[in-house]
Amino acid sequence: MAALHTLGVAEGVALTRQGEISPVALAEACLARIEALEPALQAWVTIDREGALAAAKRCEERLQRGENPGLLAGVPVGLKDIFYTAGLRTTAGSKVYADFVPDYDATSVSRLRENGATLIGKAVTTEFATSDPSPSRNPWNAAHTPGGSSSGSAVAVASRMVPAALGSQTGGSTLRPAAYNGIVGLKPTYGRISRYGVIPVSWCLDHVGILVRSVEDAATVLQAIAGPDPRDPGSLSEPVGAYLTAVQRADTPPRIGVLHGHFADHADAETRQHTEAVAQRLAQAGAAVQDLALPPSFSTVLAAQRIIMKVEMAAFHADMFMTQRHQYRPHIRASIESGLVIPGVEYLRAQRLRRLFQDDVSQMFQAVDVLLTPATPAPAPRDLTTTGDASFQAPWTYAGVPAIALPSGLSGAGMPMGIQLIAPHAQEDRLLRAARWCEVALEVSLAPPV
Amino acid sequence: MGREHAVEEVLEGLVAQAGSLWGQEDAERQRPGLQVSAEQIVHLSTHPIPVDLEPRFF
Repeated sequence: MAALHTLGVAEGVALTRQGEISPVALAEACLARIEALEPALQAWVTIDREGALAAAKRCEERLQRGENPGLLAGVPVGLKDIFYTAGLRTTAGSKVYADFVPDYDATSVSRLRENGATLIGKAVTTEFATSDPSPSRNPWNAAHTPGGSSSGSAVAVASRMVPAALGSQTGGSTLRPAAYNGIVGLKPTYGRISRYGVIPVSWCLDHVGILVRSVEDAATVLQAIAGPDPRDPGSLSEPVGAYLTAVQRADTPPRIGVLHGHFADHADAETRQHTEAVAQRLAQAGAAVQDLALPPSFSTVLAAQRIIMKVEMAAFHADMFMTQRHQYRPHIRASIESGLVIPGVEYLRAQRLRRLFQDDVSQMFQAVDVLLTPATPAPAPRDLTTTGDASFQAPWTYAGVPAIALPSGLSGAGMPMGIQLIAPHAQEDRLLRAARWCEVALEVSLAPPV
Repeated sequence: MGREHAVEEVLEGLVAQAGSLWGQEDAERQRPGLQVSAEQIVHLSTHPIPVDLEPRFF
C-alpha cells in the first residue's frame, strides 16, 4: 500500500470503509507530513491536532459500530482560513481578524464534519482572500508564486499534506493556485456550495472552491457539501446532481469548444502551444473538438468583474476600514479605497453587463458540452510579489458557471501547466464527466519534488 | 470626447470623492489605484446595454 499521506480522497475512503486503514492512522500520517514540510512551505495558519485526532477517533468508532460515517469517512481536509470554525481562530490572513474566534461553523464546514471528514486545520489565505501575496511557497519551486488567494490550500494538497482542502474563488483564487501547483481545482456554479460562514470578498462573485488531486476526488467532496442553504441568500435551488455517478460513467468522449481570442492572445507561447497539443491529443482520443469564438460582451468582463468586486469589498470592509485602514496591506487597501468612491451607477452598469455576459455564455454551449482554455496565461511566475494573473479564470467566476482546472503537463522550466474546462450553469455533472474523460485521456498526474 | 479625456474626467471625480473622505493629500496618494478604476469605468461606459435589461445579483 502507498504511504498513507499520499492517498487521495476516494482511495482513502474506500480503504477506510474496508477496514484496511484507520482514520486515526491516516490523520497521524498527514500531521507528520505537515510537521516535516511546513517550515519550508508555510501552508498553515493553525493546525488543530487535538480536534483532528478526536474527529478521526469518532469516525473510527462509528465504523466499528457498523455505522456509515458519511461520504468523506476519515478524509483529512484543510480549510482556507476564511471559513468559520466554531472555537477555532479564523484570521482571514489579516491583522484585523488576528484574534477572531467564530462561535459557529460555516455550512460547508458542518457538511464536511457530518460526512466524517477529519478537519486538520486552517490553511493560509492571502489577506481577506485578495491579492497581496501570502507567505506560502510553491512546492515545485519556492522561487515561484504558489498563486492565491487559496495559496495554503493548494500547497497543502499538492505537497501531500492533505488529500483535500476548501478554498474560495472571487476571480481566480481556486483554479489558479490549483494550476500553479499541479492539482485539480473545482469551482462549482455560484451558490452550489453555501457561502454561509465564509468571510466575503464580494457577495455576487464569491464561490466556495475544492482543491484535490483527481476529478473523482473533486466529485466526492462536491457530493458531500453541495446543496441549498436557507442561510445563504445566493444559494442555488436547482437539485444537486449525481456527481459520483457522473465520473464513474465518463466513457463517452465530450464535445469540446476551444476558446481563442483573449485566451490565445494573452497566453505565453509555451502555454499556447501546450494547449493546442492538449486539444489535439483529446481529439485523437475521440473528443469532438472545435474552435469557438468569444461573444462581444466578453470585452467588458474583466473591467466589470473588478468594479463589482471593489465596490462589494468596500461595502463589507467600510466600517473596519474607516478605523483600521493602516492594518490593511497595499493591494487590498487600494481596492477598498477605490470601491468606496466608485459611483453606484457604475456598479449597476457592471451588474447589467454581467447579465449580458451570462446570457451570452449560456448560448455558447449549443454545439459543445464544455469549453476549454489554458488554466492560466503562463505557469506560476518566478515572482513572489504577485499571486499571478486571474484573467483566464475570472470570466467564469463572474458568469457564475462551473469550471475546473486539470494538470496537463510540465513546462520547460519544470512548473505545472493546466487546462480549464467550463460547463453551463448548474451542470457540474456534465463538467465532471468531461473532466474525468480528459483526465483519463491525458494520463497526467503530477507530484512535486518534496 | 476622447477616451483619454473621459478617463481624466472620471478620475478627477473619484479623486474629489476620495478627498472628501480622507483629505486631499491622501487622495493624491490614492491616484494610481483610482486611475485603474477610472479606466475600467470608461471602458464599460462604451458598451451598449439594452434599456430594459435589469441586473441579476444572485
